[in-house]
Amino acid sequence: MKARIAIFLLSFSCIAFANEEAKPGTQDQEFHDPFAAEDAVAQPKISDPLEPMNRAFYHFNDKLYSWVLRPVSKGYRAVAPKAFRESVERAFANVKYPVRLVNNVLEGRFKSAGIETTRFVVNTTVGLGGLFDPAARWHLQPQLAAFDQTLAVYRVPSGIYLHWPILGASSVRGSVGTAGDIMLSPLRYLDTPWGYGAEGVNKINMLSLHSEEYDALKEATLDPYVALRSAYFESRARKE
Amino acid sequence: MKRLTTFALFLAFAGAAFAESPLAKVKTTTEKVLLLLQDSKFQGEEKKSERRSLVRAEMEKRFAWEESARACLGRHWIKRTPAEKAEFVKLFSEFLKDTYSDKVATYYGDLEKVDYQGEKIQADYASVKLVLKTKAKIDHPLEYRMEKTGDDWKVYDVVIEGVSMVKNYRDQFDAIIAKSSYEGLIKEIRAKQPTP
Repeated sequence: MKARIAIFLLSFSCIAFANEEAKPGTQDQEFHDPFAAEDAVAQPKISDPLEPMNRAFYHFNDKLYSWVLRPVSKGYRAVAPKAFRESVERAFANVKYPVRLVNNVLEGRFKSAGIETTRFVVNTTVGLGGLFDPAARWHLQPQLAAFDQTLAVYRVPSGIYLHWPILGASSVRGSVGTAGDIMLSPLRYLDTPWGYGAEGVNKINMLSLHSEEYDALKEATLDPYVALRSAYFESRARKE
Repeated sequence: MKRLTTFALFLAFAGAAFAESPLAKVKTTTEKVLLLLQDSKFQGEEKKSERRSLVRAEMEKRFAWEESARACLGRHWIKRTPAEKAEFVKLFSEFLKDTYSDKVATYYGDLEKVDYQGEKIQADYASVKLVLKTKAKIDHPLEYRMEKTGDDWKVYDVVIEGVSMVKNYRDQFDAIIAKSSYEGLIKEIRAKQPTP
């Protein structure tokens, strides 16, 4: 016990001592950020040799959103209450259970795969086809997993940045990952018009719930293309 | 028994010393802001601007917006003259203040609970992690990076869902300066200011 208190006191006095030290003349220098330095080690440099093409696709998506998708999703939002739209979002997520199951298994996260399976069974039955999420109330949280993440676990590098029409921010690895996820999505195995229809409904429904996020991004950034690219790689690097 | 008393005494002292920890500071501000946003006096569309300015004022006490602005400029900071530095800090910290406070005021409606996860202190810097739990049962991880100023701890960066605000702006500024110039960047920030 004594030793533990001594260590504790010692570490505390170290903190106190460190605080006593005068900070170097800060204002002239670049901001020193110890946590950012830690992050930088974990993150590879962003490579975007196809920037002109990517930017063109970004602008295409931006216009598609402003002129088509946003008005449609606004109309939909006006007629469908939020609770309904959230249920639809949950149901789509529920249907994509095989994506999470397979990738959790491939990553060796068997406990997560088990939780996902229990969630799927509970939410499909008690939760009426996934419209509700009773499993979350029993502390079974979603165990997200996708093929891009699996490839990262196996140390596949992300490759260059790609901004796709409609699909948006990605990388070479991310694109392969998306293709893999689509193969595992049951929606793909619907007859083609129904499949596209379902994906369309999914997209519009998602936008009706999250369109403020894109608007806020545009408002808060000076170069939304660079902001998206930077955020894409940073959030991926943290998940790896 | 004697040992126990010493330990209890020590705990009491330690408690006093840690009362002002970075996490406690974040918690105090967060709870004040949430109370303000829930206050029945400031509800409704006509009270929107009053509500926002109160939130802004409360957050200003906890955030070192000037330091954030300096951090966002990164390696370009040392190349600027003192006058340019002052101008940049004034211009960009205002922009940050507006965008971040507005974000808080917009999204709190979906919030159900804030989980304070813990803090990590490295000399004069600290990282405080929280999880925002929404009513739709979705967890949003949030991290405040703080710097010690005197007896106080102030936030210089917010990491939302693994994306650092400072790093994101720094990358944008790098790109804009590389493509045009520092003056071009200033022009773009000015264009973003809301017209009074």
